Amino acid sequence: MDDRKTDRLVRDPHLPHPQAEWPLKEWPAADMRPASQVMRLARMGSFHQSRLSFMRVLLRRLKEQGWRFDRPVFDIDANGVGVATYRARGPERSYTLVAFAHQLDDDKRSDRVIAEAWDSTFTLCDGDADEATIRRLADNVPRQEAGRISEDEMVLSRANKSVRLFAHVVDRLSAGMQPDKEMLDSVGYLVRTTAVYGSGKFGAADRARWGDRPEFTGSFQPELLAVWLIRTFSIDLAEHLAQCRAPDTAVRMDPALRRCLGVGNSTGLGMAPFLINHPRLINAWIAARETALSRVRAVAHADEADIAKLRNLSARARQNAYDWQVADARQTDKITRLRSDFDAIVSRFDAISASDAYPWDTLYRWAEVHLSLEGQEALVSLLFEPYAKMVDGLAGCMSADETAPYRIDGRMRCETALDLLQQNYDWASDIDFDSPDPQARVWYVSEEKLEPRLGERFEEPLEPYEQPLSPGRDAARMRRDLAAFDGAESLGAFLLAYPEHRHIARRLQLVSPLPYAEIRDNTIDAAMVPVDLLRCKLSFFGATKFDPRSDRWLRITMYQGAPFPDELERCDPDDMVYPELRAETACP
Amino acid sequence: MSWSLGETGALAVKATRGAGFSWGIAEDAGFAVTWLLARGLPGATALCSYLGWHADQRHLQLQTDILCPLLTGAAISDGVIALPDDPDDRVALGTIRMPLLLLPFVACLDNENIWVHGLNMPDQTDAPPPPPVGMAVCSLQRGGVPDWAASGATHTRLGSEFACCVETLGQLAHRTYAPATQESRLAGAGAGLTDND
Repeated sequence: MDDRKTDRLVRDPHLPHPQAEWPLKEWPAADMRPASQVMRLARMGSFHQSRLSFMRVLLRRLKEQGWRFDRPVFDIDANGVGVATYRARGPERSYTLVAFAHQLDDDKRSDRVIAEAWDSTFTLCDGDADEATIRRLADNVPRQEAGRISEDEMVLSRANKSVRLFAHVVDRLSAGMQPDKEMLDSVGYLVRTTAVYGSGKFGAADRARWGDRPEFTGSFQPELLAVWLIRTFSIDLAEHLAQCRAPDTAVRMDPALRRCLGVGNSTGLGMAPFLINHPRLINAWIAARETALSRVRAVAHADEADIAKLRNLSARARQNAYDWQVADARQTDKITRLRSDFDAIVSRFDAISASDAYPWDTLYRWAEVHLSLEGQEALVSLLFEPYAKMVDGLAGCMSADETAPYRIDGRMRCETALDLLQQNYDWASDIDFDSPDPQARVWYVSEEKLEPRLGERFEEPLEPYEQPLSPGRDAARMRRDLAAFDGAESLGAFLLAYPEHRHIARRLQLVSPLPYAEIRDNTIDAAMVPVDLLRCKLSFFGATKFDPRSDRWLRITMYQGAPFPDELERCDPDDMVYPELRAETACP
Repeated sequence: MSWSLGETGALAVKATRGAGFSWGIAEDAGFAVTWLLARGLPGATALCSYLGWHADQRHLQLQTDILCPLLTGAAISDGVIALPDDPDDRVALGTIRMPLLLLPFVACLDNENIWVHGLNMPDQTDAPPPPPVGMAVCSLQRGGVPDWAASGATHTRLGSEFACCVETLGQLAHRTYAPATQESRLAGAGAGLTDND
């Protein structure tokens, strides 16, 4: 090992290091980026999909394990009403998406969580779905939150049509023509889901029932399997309606055009508290990503093939950035910077050669100085691409059991707890939580649809309903009371006197050994942008085309460009993420 | 119809908060109920009974020496209530309302075999557990490993016979939800936009 590498392997002893406990530690690694740099909302709101994104992890696994897919039931009438099932059969188990297609008046079509009817509704069954099961589900799944599913179901979801594109596709196919590619590209999906519930919600199976199944290693795998099958259903439905309308002339969609379509998703504030409510999981996700980056930065010399791959992908990612259009002013500014960042990235890749020492570390350090956060994080994701062996195994570390109880260590001395507060929440100690702006917002749950919302503390009577989603403020309050308490006393004694700090005391002990568990920004500040929380989570899903519609909801596309079940065997899902590859791919 | 333990635990957290406890104690209650249900014990019944009393009648309570199982359980879990060293000693806890809820807090102590007296539960029987006692004088005692195997987590659902508990907990949970106002509707995600595009 040369001196330079030795130097790079020396880590900050004060930085807790998850990698030390991880199974895959044969790779050299550079220093990990500290939480103070990574766990800021502006940066997290600039994350992009990568090899570690859960959709890509799922499709890789389905392909590697040789899963087979069929459609046992397709009983949908000429009006588009009925039921269809899509079955995925793996080495040990099978799963079935049961899809109900409905007729929905335009005035009832709403992507908001307060909607009560949808174009189509879905559940993912654990195993096959027989007639009796389908009958039971037909009484419940179309009602979504108002119905109940059982422990034999894993996911509950619904979707609405993209009305204009769906009509266009059916019109064209029924006339024997293919849909307009530009229109497919610009919308990106025939249906968009408005919620995908899993893990015990509305009666579904708890994660404990399936969490140890190898096919679901990682996060959100059943939910994303359901979404991938919903994508196939959306195409089948359009082709079926075209066929019903004009049996003599109708054609099926060209496979290459079909791949332009993913599944859309509208996501709002309901998802925003997730990152705060799941500290162990977020730590696992971010730590995997940061570990991957540290490994890639430790590559001493890049192969010509890897450099060539990155040149190719960076050019396509640049094109992707130029194609990315949104109405939102803030995101438009970010995209404008991203485009010029990609111009610079492509030039840098052109100049890199196999003789350069630590080329990716050098490139990353340059990016930190010269690129926007969007550009830096896009580069991070891009750098993983040639290094499947180095990166992909980390996906197995991206889960955590958030339902496992965490018992407070009440024997800890108060002075130790005070030290921990200083170490983990130093960023909050400079915030004046007595002034209006830093506490302007209140996270609460609305009575109307039981969904999280964000209100204005000083304009609405919401404070009594406040959810515990402000760790920075809560830590500052605990520190104030703890500092006035006897430092030699136990934390248990302190909590007996101040039970209101029990939530943040537990959180403090839980997050302390987990470097990336806590967002280091004030989540109730007047200037906080909830869309950043959504973007971070959705990037880990593998979503693309982030399209903020306000500061608190956005639309995204999932699986655009990805193979369909009937072509997974002969396509490489990882090679299809950047859309312009479609013209070059060897996949017929 | 049945409920997953995950959604029941989440409901227990909200109900406990709705009954007036801090979020931290509410989290402990969610743990306690899930722990009991997973072992086939009537955790939802116990919490439902206790919170129902706590939310509505505690202000009428003249006797102040009857203790809360959640706060007492948290104090045991935190080590504030010292455990007996000698197997012949008992630590008196006093009169605890719905003492079954203490059990998960005692069970999660590290490497300890601590017996809780006062729960009025059969040592071991194949019959369903009896309804939890409403209140009892309780104490802790260090003991040996029981001569019967303690049941681990074997139950995964809350059955339909507990619909009434779920409804009561749901009513308490409802107290954590803010009534909708015109301002909040307008500030909701996606408000005022058409989705027919």
